Amino acid sequence: MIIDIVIFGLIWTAIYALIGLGFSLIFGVANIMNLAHGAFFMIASYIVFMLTAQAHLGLLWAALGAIIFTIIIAVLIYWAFIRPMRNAMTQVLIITLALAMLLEQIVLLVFGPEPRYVPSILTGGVNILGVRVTEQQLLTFFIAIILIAVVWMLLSKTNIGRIVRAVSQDAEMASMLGVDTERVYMFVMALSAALAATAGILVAPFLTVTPTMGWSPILVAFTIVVLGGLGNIWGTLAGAMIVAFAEMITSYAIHPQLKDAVTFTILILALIFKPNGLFSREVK
Amino acid sequence: MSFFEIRHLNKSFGKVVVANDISFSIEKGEFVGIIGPNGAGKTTLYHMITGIVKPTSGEILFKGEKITGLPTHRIVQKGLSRTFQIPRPFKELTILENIEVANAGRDKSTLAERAERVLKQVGLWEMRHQPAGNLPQGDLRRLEVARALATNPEFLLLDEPFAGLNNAEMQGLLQLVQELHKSGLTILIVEHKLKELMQMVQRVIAIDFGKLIADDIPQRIVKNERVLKAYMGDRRWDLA
Amino acid sequence: MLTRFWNAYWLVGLLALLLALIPLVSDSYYLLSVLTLANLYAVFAVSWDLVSGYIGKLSLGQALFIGFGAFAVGMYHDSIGIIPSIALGAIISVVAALIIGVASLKLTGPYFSLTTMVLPLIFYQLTYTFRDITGGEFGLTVSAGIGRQALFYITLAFMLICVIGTLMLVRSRTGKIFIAIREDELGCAALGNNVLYYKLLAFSLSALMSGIGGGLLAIYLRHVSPTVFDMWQSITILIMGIAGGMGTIIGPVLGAYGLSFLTEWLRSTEQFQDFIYAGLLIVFVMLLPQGIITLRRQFSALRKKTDGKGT
Repeated sequence: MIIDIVIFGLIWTAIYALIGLGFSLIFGVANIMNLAHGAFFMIASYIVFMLTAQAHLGLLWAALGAIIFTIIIAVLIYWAFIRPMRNAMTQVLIITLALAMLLEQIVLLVFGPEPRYVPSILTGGVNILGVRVTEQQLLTFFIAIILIAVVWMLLSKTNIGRIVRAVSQDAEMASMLGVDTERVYMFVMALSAALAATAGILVAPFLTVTPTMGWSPILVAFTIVVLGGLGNIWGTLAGAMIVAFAEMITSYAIHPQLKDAVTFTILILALIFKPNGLFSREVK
Repeated sequence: MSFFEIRHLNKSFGKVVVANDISFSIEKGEFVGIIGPNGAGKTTLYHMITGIVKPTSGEILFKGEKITGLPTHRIVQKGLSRTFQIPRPFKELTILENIEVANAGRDKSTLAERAERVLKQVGLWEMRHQPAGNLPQGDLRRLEVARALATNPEFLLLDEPFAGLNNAEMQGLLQLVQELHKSGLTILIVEHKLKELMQMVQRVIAIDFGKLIADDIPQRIVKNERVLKAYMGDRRWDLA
Repeated sequence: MLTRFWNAYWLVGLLALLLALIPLVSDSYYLLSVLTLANLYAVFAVSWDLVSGYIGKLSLGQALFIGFGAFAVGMYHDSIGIIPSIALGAIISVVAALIIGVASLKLTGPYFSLTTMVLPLIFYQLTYTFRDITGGEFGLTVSAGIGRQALFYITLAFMLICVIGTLMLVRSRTGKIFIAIREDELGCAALGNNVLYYKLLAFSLSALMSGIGGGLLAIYLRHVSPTVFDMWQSITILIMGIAGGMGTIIGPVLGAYGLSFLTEWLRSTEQFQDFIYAGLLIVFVMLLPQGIITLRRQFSALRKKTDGKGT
């Protein structure tokens, strides 16, 4: 059982880190708490389903299509609904929540509430230290890790990354230096959605695809942000690891349906004791 | 036991030192000014005294009691109150309501009596039902002072109350502050308008780069070497 | 603000009077049913407004306390009686509010809002997990032996008490401190007020009202199931509060009755109802974020400007 926990803990760490990273980015850079983040995760899964089951596209094309479509939706949402009220956090929360519900409803009306099946890219399984892991899950792990590394490099080594970091620290200053902050926000929104979408596509084959699958990711993403601090890749990884392992331990050792409750308890404890994340030195 | 004492106060934000071993004490009834170039750490000092920022090390004592690290509202309840550099009235409340929000602790008089006393003191009683959001700068400053007074302080900290006022407004506020001192209030005031400051205070503390560089009567401060050096070249200062 | 004037009390009194007369002029069970539910939602909306509109901390999960109240009644009305079970629900709600509040009200930013959003979802799942005591998806039946008319008057009285009580609270010094906190927490603390205490006060009162209301809801529905924790419960209250007018108390009351009737009107489009709700919320937040109740004020402000008599 311990090996199960370790292996699946690692796999879920990668997936959760993907989800948490997107959420943390848009909050850290644009100060937007996007409650529709989970909806992007969900929509991507459904688009893959739709493209494979109904349009009969190959999996890779379906995945690509899902990511692109989700990005488009995300950018449209940002431009039409979030941008006009960027400075009122309350309105942004309500609007993104309403949009998340709206998207859930649309999916529900179009596809119905039954769980949908999305085929795996890789079939077959491997045996690691006595634990059976599907090749799809391994692929998921590696893709997630690679993607996180890519994002890290993007943010720390490239020019775009520098601009994004500048805007997240001081948007006013950045715009006075000629940076089009709106474009940066849209870029980060797109990136954030892409990460959520990828996570959704990767887990769709082995998770139940239902219209309400977007809410758990939000809880996880939020907890990761509280644990790991904002816009901090290592913090996000650490937070993801804590959540993933806590969930695995609960799943295997206690009761699988108490996962979310445990995540939430971690969240509350973190809020009480370390609201600025585990890695902050200065408490505001 | 001094009325108010700061012992070896230190504060850094990362590598930036904003308070460097500051120590001084104030006796009851004194009227002390604090001067220093912009960024010298004066407002941070106020933030530390009123519990908004925690010092890295050092102690702050008020009436013999340690108040370092206490939450702001508890410090205010003990009788220490402040105004803010940029007035922050509650815009959706009227002037009167702004005063009513203030907590006067164990003050025996009723809410209404206190509000009337304070508002008349600053000269805002007539317009007490006006929303605080529409006031001109001079009145906003009076409101700031009134609110702080409504908490029944023994020790009042003023943060640049004369900034942005025209002559008439300044004279009015000057008179008010002097009356407050005469009535027994211990006052500490940060101010850039040195002419007005020197008229009011009995003692001046000068701070530069977080360090206390002088603590003397006004007449000697303006001749103090270190103080002059700190301001040399800073055109915003007028030591005349 | 409407709450400043005596208008608010008269309005509520009038509304309650009108409502009280309805059973005398109409035989319709249906109407009574809708109004009973509306009475409860008026309380939910007001309790939401106390936290979201007055201290300015947006609550996205009023359903949590409603659920606690409903399940307390559902699970215990048989063993300890209806009124004690309602009281139990109320106590649990308040205790929960204090715990959540201490954890999340101290922080700036959206942490409180997100915590309130997520909690009902957790409990939604928990009620499925512990189906032995909660009845799982089948829920629990509640038989209280209270007639429809009696329940209508009980909820009406409950609504009247809660709304008047809250109006009195927000007009008192405490209410002004709430507004001060919403505008400038630090400034409020600098005037000697324990801001956390006031936030907890608002939040616990909100939980208390919703908890009791939740118990009454279970009695009204004669049933309690996990759906009481559903996000839609919170969203519905959100719409009522926002469409009515955040931070006015009266606005959400009107929003509650208005939306209840709208729901009935939209009955035929049952499956699209949630979709329409979400859409309505978006429309209101974007076009009329202050709510309908402030329309008159915004209108007169507009007229003043065009008359050249603006401030």
